[in-house]
Order: sequence, then structure tokens, then C-alpha cells
Amino acid sequence: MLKEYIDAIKGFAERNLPVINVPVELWYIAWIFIFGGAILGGALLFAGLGAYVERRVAGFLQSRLGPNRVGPQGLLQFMADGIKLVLKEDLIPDAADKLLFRAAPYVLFIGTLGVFAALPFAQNIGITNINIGLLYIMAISSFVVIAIIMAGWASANKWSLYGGMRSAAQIISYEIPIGISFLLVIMITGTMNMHQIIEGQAGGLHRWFVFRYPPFTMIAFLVYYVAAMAEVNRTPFDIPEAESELVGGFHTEYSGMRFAMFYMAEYANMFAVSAIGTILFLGGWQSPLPFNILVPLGTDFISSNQFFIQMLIWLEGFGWFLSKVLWLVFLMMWLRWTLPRYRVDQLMAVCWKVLLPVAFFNMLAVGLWLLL
Amino acid sequence: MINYFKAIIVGLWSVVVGLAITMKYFLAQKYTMQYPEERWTMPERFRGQVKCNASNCISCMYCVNICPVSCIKLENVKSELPVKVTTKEGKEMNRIKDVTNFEINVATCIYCGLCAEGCPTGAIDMSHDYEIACYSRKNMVYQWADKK
Repeated sequence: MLKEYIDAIKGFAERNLPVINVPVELWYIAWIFIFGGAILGGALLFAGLGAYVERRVAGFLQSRLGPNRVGPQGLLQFMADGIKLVLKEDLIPDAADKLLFRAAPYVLFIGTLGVFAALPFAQNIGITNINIGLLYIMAISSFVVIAIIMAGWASANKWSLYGGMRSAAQIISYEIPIGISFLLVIMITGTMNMHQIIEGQAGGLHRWFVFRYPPFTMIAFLVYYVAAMAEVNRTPFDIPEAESELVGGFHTEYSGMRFAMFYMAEYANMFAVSAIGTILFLGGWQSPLPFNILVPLGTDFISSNQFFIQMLIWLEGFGWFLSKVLWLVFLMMWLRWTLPRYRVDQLMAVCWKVLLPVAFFNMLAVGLWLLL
Repeated sequence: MINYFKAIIVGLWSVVVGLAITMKYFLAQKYTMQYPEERWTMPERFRGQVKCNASNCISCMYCVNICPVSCIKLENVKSELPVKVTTKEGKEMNRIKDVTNFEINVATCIYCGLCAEGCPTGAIDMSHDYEIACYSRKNMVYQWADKK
């Protein structure tokens, strides 16, 4: 997909700007920077707004208002928070392993932003289109657990270390039900390509994988969602940073911008897992309605230019994708402020005794269904 | 085996119930008061900052003597002409002293209200004003009379 963009732009440039004769490698490098910047900007913007929305939702769920002073309805609160965090002293404990301590937030960001590279946002809109997209996402998101252990270990603080250890146990355990839920989708579609998975769900609400093989895929979606919530350390599975037990868990010793990176990565991760859930089970950018909304409006009132119509189709797909993802993100926030935190042994029991066997038998059942 | 599935279903159902309860509060009325725009109406007998009307003061020194923390300072001179003042009961009496300095140190005041209660002319009173924070100790000392 990246190559298609580059070829298209290069062709356009060569046709219209005959003076320019840039080697193709330079185009690649330029596009890497542009897409990298787009991912970084988009993910950070979402993280900032997500933090604001989280505080606002928390306030509303507790009969108060939440931040509403900075900007209209408090929308610029995340900028105020960001400025505050940038101005804070950057403190590294004396006993800390300095190199690991500094490296941990960056490793975390690799795991978080790497996922975004493989997500399809709309028809033909995405950074890359790799045919093993799911496997890639599974693999690169494991950077997060490494970063959390790095942070916990490097802080030279028993609470942080506990947080890191718990996180390792939790994330590695919960990756298994997630993997099995992925497998189920791969079994149905026969591909790991995210675009093809979405195209396999075209044709209305009943074709989405949640509703395709009732009730098995629905259960698989539930298993995925619960396990994903544990993957990104959200309450009720936030024992790696459980405030009441571990102060701040693995990020106890972090302050200033390094802390902000952990904080932003949490929200970016929320978006990522919700997006994966949307793509695998809720039809990605497929509309639940049998008709297009924007295209007839555009052709009737504005123009019937082919390029313009394509843009409208993309825009509508992106809108559906975003609305599904944001609904799942809101559900995560809603759950966070509803449920108390699990104990460590309960957490493990939920994974190994409930999610794993359910996911496994679920997969068997769908396999049988597909065979018969 | 039945208990296993029962536990899963009961657990999921309790999550749904919890979500319903929080959603109820999400949609319900919010109780936060937007402070500078909205304010409480204070109860009638609320004791806020002490306010004085020095022209009514007859310099009886009641408030200075009764104040438990001695935060009131009062200086006076004999006036050239006696001035008529009305007491709380509505009687008229002559004021024979002029107040030259009436200071209340709000930083030490404990808002007990004893001064206002005993003041014969109502020259000193507890207001409903509770926004008395300021940037320096000097500003906490209020002057209620023109220094002569």
C-alpha cells in the first residue's frame, strides 16, 4: 500500500513537475517520515483527548462535572496537563539503572505505535497492507510488556518491580485468549490480512463476525474484549499499577515527560485494541446500513467528480470505523469507573480457568461449524 | 460444572447491573457548583467577615474587651460636638468621642461574633462575606475609620 502511494505521487510529480528527478529511495524516506509523523500526531492527539474524555466520563459517572475550565468545555485540558508535565523536573532515582530507565518509555512507544502501522482506517487507507497483519500486531504489541518490565526493574524500587512482574504475568497470560480469538477469525476468513478480513465482513450487520456464527463468535468477541482490557492494564485488570497496593506500580519513579509517555501510551493502546476488536469482529469500516450516506448527498449537491466520490467513500468508512472504535473505548472507560480491581489470584483465575477454556471450546465449535 | 457456568453468567450479569447503575448517574443531574459563577446563599446567622460602621461607634470599648483573641484595635479622641446615634433598641444617645483608628485583624479573628452581639449601636456586625483570602498579612488588617 505504501508502495502504491509512492508510485502514485511519484507519477504525479513526474507528469506535472518535469524538473524534479528525485531518486525513488528519497521518496520512500520522505514517506516514512510523513506517515510516522501522521501516526505519532494522531495517536498523541487521541491520547490527549482520551485522557480528557476519561476524566470527564469519570466525573459524569460520579455526579460531578470533571475538567471544564480550559478551553470550551475543558477541551484543551490535555494541553494544560502536557505543559505542566513538560515543565516538571526530570527525576531519575540514584539507584536506578539509568540506561534502562531512559529506554523504557521509548520501547513502550514502539509497541504502541507499531500497531497503528498495520491498522486499516478506511477503504485503502492505512499505512501498510501486510498479508500477516494480525501476526505482526500480535508480535509488536509484545514490546509493551518488555517496556513495563524494563521500567519496573530499572526503577530499583520494590513497588515498581512488583508492578513489572505482575504486568508480565498478566499480559503474557492474557495474550493466549487473545491469540485464540484471533485464530477464530483467521479460521473463518483464511487470511491474516486486515483489509481482507474486513472485506470478508461486507454486506450489512449480519455479516459482521460478531453475528456470523451465533453465539460462538459473540463469545469470542467478549473474550477478546475482556482479555484486551487486561492487555492494556485497564481497571478492573490494572494490578500492575494498582495505586492502593503498589503506589503507582511500574511508573512510580517516573515523572515529567517520561511519565507522560506512559500515560499517553495507555490511551493509544486503548485505541489500538479497540480498533483491532472493531476490525476483527465489528466489520472495521463497513457500514451497518445497506446504503451509503455521503455519496448520494455529495453527487446530488456538490459534484460527481470521481476523485471526490472516492474521498466521500473513504470519509464515510473512516467515520464508521472511528465511531465503532470510540464506542469500544467509551465502554472501557465506563467499565473502569464501574468495577473494582481484581486481586492477583482472581485475575489469574479469570484468565486460565474461564477465558482460556471458553475461547478454546469456542474455537473448536466454530471449526466444527465450518467443517460441516 | 453447572456452578462453573453459573458463576460466569452471574458474573457477567452483575457487570451489566453495575454498568446500568453507573449509567444512571452518568445521565443524572450533576451536583458540582461552578463556584465563581454560582454561589451558595448563606444562612441568615452565618458569621462571615466583620464589618464596621465607624461613624456609629460610641467608643464604649466593649468589642475590644470582649474579643477572645484581641484582634480589634480602637483609638479615639474627644469630639468637639456630640453627635446623635441610634442604638439597636432605637434609643437616641450622644456620641462624645470620635473614632480615629478602628482596626480588625482578620488573620487572627475567630469569627465568634461576640463583638457584634454586644455592640450597643450595631456599629460592628458579622457580614456574609467569606472571600477574605489575600496575598499579604498587611492586607488582612482592615481599617474601618479614617486615620487622623
